[in-house]
Amino acid sequence: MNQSLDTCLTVLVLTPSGNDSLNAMTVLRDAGMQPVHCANLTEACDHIVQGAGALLIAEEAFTSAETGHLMKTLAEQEPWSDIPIVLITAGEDITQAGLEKLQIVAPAGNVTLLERPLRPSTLVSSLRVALRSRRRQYQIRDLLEQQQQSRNELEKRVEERTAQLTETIAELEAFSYSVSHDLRTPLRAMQGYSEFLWEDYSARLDDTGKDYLRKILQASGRLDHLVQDILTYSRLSRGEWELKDIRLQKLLTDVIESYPMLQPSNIDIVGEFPLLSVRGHEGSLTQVFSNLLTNALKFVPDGRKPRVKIRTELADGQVRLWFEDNGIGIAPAYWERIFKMFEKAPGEKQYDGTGMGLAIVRKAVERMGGRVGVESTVGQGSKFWIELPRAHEQ
Amino acid sequence: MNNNHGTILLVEDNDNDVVFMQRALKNADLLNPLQVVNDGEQAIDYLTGRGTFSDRTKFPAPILVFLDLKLPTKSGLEILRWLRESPEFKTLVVLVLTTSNEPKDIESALKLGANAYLVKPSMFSELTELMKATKAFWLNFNHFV
Repeated sequence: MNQSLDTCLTVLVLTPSGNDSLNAMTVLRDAGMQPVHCANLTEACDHIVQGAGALLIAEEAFTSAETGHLMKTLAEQEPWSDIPIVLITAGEDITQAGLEKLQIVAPAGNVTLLERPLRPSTLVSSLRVALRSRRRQYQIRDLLEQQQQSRNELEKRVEERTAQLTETIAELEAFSYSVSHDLRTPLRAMQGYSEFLWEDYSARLDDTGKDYLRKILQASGRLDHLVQDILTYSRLSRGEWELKDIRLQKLLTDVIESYPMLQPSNIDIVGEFPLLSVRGHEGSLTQVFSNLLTNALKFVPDGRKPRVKIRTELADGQVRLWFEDNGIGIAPAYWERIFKMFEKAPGEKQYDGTGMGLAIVRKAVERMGGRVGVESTVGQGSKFWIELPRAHEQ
Repeated sequence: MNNNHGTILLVEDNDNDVVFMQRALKNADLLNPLQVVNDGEQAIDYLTGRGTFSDRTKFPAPILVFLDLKLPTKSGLEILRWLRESPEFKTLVVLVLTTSNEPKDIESALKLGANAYLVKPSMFSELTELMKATKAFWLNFNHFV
């Protein structure tokens, strides 16, 4: 707790015993100030540390040995504090030792020199000026403390918010984890027993019965895809990603090799080699490739063999990667919407999709610091593009 | 190397999944004796031959364990840690078989010394394929201590 301004604005008086001291005490008291007599410089220094308005000191009242203590006390003041010192010199009769003390103290502090003989009015006005500037210093101290206090409050609030957010994220993670486990477990049972029914009893079912069973299998398969897509999407939102240089040409080959449905018998995938390399997260980019290639495979009019051309170009220092297909195409009104969760373009209903594939693509690319987009002509095909930073080494 | 006689222990709390596993193993021609326990405590009792499992002729020590992660009483990861800390089970083949494909679970299980991490497929036919592959690799090609 800080001392009140009144206590702080006392005048410490250190003058030799005798007339001079008594005189100064009386003069200052009569002028409405609060003089405090100090027996020696050490006592005065203690007061400075506790809080004081000004120091009135006569040159002959302290020894050279004590100046060190004063200098130390002055140097250790708070940044806002510079206590005014009024130093009464001996005038023309000053000794060599006195001169040395003045030479040390005077330049080091906020010092006003008053020469003897001294008139009371001079003394009072000098100390009024001193106390006035000291009051300002204490006001600055209070402002600084207020600022510090609001900073502390802000920091505390930031800490609380961070804790709340961390808790929310943990809850979300727990949620998606239980979606994974708890939703998929009964779903797997439905799929499994439907398959048993098909294997063991389909011979005893008529065509309508078989059709119902097929529909159960299809629907549970779709639900399973949807749950998995939602999990993939939520997983893309969390965790730290380590970005590295990725050779798209190799990634494309790997993706094609590991997905049986992307074989040449199903789809023509034409790479316009060489492809530029990008900076990204390999697992997520693999997901992006498989989603875009699978879309090219899925969304084609009946009787047309799916074909997709993959090429890269530089656009404003970024690598733009194109997937150009010969599919059903997308009307301009849907070019942005299809990248949102659960959005489907009209005419997409007949095709099997969860409405999550492109949302996953966008989420993954944006987390790698890139952008996505599409240009398309209905009936002729779509050109999807993703833009990513260039690899550090091409 | 052929291990078509050693007991397989399935640690699985979901009854449906037990049914699927029994049928998938049969479809895959993986005919080793199968023992099933439904929670973590039972798994440890079985492995150490304690309590109801003290008769080793009826409940032989397994050569391979299918371990679910999310289990009552003790989690799969806890069992895994316990196994790898006991000298007796340090080298026991443990295949994690779970619904979770969370990177966090995969990493924890492998770090604790699971021999493989398998995700339960959605389709039963895929589970059969998985058991065929398991039989070929772990029971026919793999060498046991």
